[in-house]
Amino acid sequence: MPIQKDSREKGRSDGVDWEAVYAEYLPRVYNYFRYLVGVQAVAEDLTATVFEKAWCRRNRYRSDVGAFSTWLFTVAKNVARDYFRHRRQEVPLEWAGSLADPDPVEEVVAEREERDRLAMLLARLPDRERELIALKYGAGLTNREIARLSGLSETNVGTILHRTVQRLREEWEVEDER
Amino acid sequence: MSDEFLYGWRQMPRPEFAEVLKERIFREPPDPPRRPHGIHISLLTLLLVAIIVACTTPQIRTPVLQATETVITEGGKAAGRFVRLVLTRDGKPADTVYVWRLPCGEGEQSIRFYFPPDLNEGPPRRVHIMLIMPEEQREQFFKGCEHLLSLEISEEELTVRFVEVNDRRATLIVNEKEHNALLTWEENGIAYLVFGDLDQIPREELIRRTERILLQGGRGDE
Repeated sequence: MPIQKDSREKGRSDGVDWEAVYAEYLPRVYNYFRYLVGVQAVAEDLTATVFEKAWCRRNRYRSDVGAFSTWLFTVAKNVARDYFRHRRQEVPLEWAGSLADPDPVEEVVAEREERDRLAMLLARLPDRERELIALKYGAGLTNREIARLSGLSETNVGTILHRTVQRLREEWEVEDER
Repeated sequence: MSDEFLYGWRQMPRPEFAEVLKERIFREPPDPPRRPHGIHISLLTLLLVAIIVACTTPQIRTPVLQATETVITEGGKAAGRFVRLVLTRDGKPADTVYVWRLPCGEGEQSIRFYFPPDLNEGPPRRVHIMLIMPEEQREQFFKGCEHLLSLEISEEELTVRFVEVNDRRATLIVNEKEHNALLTWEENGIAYLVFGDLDQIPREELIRRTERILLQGGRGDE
């Protein structure tokens, strides 16, 4: 939670401690994009865009209208939407790169393979489901926060997430059997 | 696959990335000190007064935009709402924009498409329909019928609310992305339009101030 730095600065975003915001939200925004696009370099670029935009528009945030996380992730969602509008045809190939990098430690290789497989399964999800998974597990938002961001009801968010995790589990098992 | 496994895919950003980004962002100097709030309000009040005066002065009082609302009912219940905006150029009707708002339902429900009732009147023409609906419904809806709509605006970017200004039904269109609002209402065939920057003044205050100005200044030649 951003801290009020100085009571004289209250009102709009002036009262937000951006050092604290950066420390708390950088990993959450970054992981939101990692789950969404699956490529570290792209996740970093999109994260940078979000923080640049948020910093430029910091006077637009009003604590009396909504939570800071909702405001910041609305910016992130718009950045993601712009990205997918322009880059939809590109195929994430991060896992291919990591597999090509030999690692002598078997456990590390196994862990990497699991991550690559998860990235692949996430990439196959429909946009809405992948978005909800990214907000839940990448950004660490609650179902209520996701509901506010997505316009869905909280119950609906929970139902879709449950169904999506179930689907991921089934596809994971199918991959296991191959 | 458990929640722990899914959460476990998270990673901390690379320290170099975090440091470089932080340095780049925070290098920008803070905004210059803002002028006292009262000055902003005074300036905006002057602007609003100028707009209202311009609209109510007889020789300038040419309709620039007409707004009418149609509620489509089905089984006695409101099934959809259209706001029909006729934009004029040089005193002649130019573009027609239909703002179509669907009720925000829950779950995966089917969406009925309603045409504006007056769409088939007059010669064939191109119309713009702003579709106001939740994104997930829009994605479902657009399958196979994209050609029907020439303009789409997502729920996040634009919201339409019906409010009252001096007991008149008014339409408040808020562009969340650009952070501004357009308030329009119709009186005696004349459409009034007030545009506000939400960075300067909240939307509710925009309505309140418009009402106050109208009440204090009267309604022109009514």
